[in-house]
Amino acid sequence: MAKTMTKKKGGNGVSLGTLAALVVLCVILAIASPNFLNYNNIMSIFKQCTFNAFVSVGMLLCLITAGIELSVGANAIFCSCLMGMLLQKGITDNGVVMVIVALVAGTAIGLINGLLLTRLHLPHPFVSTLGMKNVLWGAALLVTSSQIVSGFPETTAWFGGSDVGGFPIAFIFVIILYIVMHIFLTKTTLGRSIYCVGGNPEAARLSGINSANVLTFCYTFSGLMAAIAGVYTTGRSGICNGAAAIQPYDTDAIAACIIGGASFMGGKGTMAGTMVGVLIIGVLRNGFTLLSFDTALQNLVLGLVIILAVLMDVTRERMEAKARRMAAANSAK
Amino acid sequence: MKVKKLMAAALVGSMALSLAACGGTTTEDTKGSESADTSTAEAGDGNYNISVILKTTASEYWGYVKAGAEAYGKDHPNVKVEVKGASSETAYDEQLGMIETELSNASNDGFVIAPLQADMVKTKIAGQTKPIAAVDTDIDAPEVFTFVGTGNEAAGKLGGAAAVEAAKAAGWEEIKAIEICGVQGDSTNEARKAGYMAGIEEAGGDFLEEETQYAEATADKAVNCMEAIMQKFPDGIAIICANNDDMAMAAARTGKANPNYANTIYLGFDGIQAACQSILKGELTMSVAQQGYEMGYKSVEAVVQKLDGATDIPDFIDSGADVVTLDNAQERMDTLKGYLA
Repeated sequence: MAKTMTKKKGGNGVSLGTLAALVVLCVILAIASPNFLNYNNIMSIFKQCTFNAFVSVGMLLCLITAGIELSVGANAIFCSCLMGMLLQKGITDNGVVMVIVALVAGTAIGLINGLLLTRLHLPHPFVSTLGMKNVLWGAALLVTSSQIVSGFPETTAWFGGSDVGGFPIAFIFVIILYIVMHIFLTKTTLGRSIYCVGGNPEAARLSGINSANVLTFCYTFSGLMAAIAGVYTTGRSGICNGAAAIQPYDTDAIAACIIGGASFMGGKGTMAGTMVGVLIIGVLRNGFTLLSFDTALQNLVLGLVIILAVLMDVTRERMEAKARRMAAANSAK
Repeated sequence: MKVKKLMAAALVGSMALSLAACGGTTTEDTKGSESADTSTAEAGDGNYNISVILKTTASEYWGYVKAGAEAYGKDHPNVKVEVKGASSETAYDEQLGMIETELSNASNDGFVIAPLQADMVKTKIAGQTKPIAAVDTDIDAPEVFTFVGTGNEAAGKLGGAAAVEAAKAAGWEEIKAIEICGVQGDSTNEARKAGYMAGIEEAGGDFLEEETQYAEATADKAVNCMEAIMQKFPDGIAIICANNDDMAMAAARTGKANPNYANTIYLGFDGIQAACQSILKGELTMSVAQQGYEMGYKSVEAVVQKLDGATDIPDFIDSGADVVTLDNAQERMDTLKGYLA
């Protein structure tokens, strides 16, 4: 399945259309803003992309299985608020303990999402994860008593705020994660099973793949990724705020994956493509800020770029399929 | 609060049970609501039910308004105060639905409303005869007999002027200011922006309106905006004002690493506990604080006075605003902790 999917793309699964869109976007912004190509600004883009890069990994796995994970953002903010609660209630000011608690909680929430789908047989992950999003939004406010918490220890801020020569440590982690996940998805049995479960559930069943376990793994992993994103955003902004759980982090992640070649129908999507999607959204948002676009214009342009990027890719694939059909017909003659 | 949480859990549980049983509880539900109706106070006998509908209850600032309103009820046993709020400050339809429900509840004797969209609420309350007080944000409607608050614009103006003075004291000769805004189109956002602009320019500063950044009222986007500002203005900006404290704190933390932004004045809005802590740590410089607790208390008080027949209630009741700086941050934080205790 993975091989079929990567045939239409470059060797690493990046669609040339979306890659071209990223390059064109960068050229336009470099012309429009003299600060865009500044080294510090490029580093800022990496920092700004990191949160979405983490949650998009989990989202991609779920999309490949023909599912969806709408609670990624709320999970991240809940984990952040859980860290805030530990500080606010005076339970601990040990940053390492806070991070561990957040990672365990986020992963457990992902596991619950998976079990709701596979063991309690909720009809579609849209239902369970949408419900979970609201649960986590409320829980994030409850654990912090609807208060903003600040004053996190430096150890907590390390992941979100440290860099090497200006290059953010968290983004180095993102790059390593994406490479490892690329190998995992394309070279391991479990990785290929994920594509198979999403692309052809019947074939997966017949070949003896335990779909329930594969799906549970994907949602649990997505929870872990959300927790890491939560730890990152806490370190980066230095505060936690439960009210942020309603922010559309999930739609940014879905957009990144879809731009990168994933499909709601499942069985498609690559790590490299998702990275390009994450970068397109990050570059766009950075450009908006540099050019001081107002919100109305930001939403309009972002929406159009998402539609155009996917449209370009779908059109190109249709043209290629048509060309293949014509070539096959010609060779049959 | 604990009782409400238990009730919420009971509601969820009962809903699940009723769904599992596929109906059959109609009679009991009706009886339940009837008994609730008979237990409510009746207007005219000195006992009042006041419904307070806030923008949200899911934020610290609105927690103080809620605490103030409820404190009036505790101080006056004849007044029953019920406080509600939308799930977020952008849940416009949710709040409208809430207002509609409360207005049609015959057991309510008066209302306190903090409108998310004043114009929409104006239509909804048209023709109401029971007293309505606006809190935090005014509603320009004949049904509203008073407005309790400072006005976001007036408070913003106060903060803007204070920031310019602080920038002068910090040695800035060219006092330029950039705002990191919340949600564009939101009336509170626009009022605070207008206030900042007026306060800064009247005090001799230069408000760079075209450089305004929109961060959707969230800290992580405020960090992005601050990074972009530092890219665009590498030599520093005298004032960075944000229209809530979490954005201001995040911006201050981001700017801290840049020596050209070491003397920048970071101005927040709301004066919440975390902002006081940030000021005491030397990150955030100042925050405009509206007196949420007083707003809540005074607005319920005004409605009760109106129900008692008072005719001399002013159209505008000033609940006061203050600028929290290093000098008074500790005192304010202690006061706020006391409100929520």
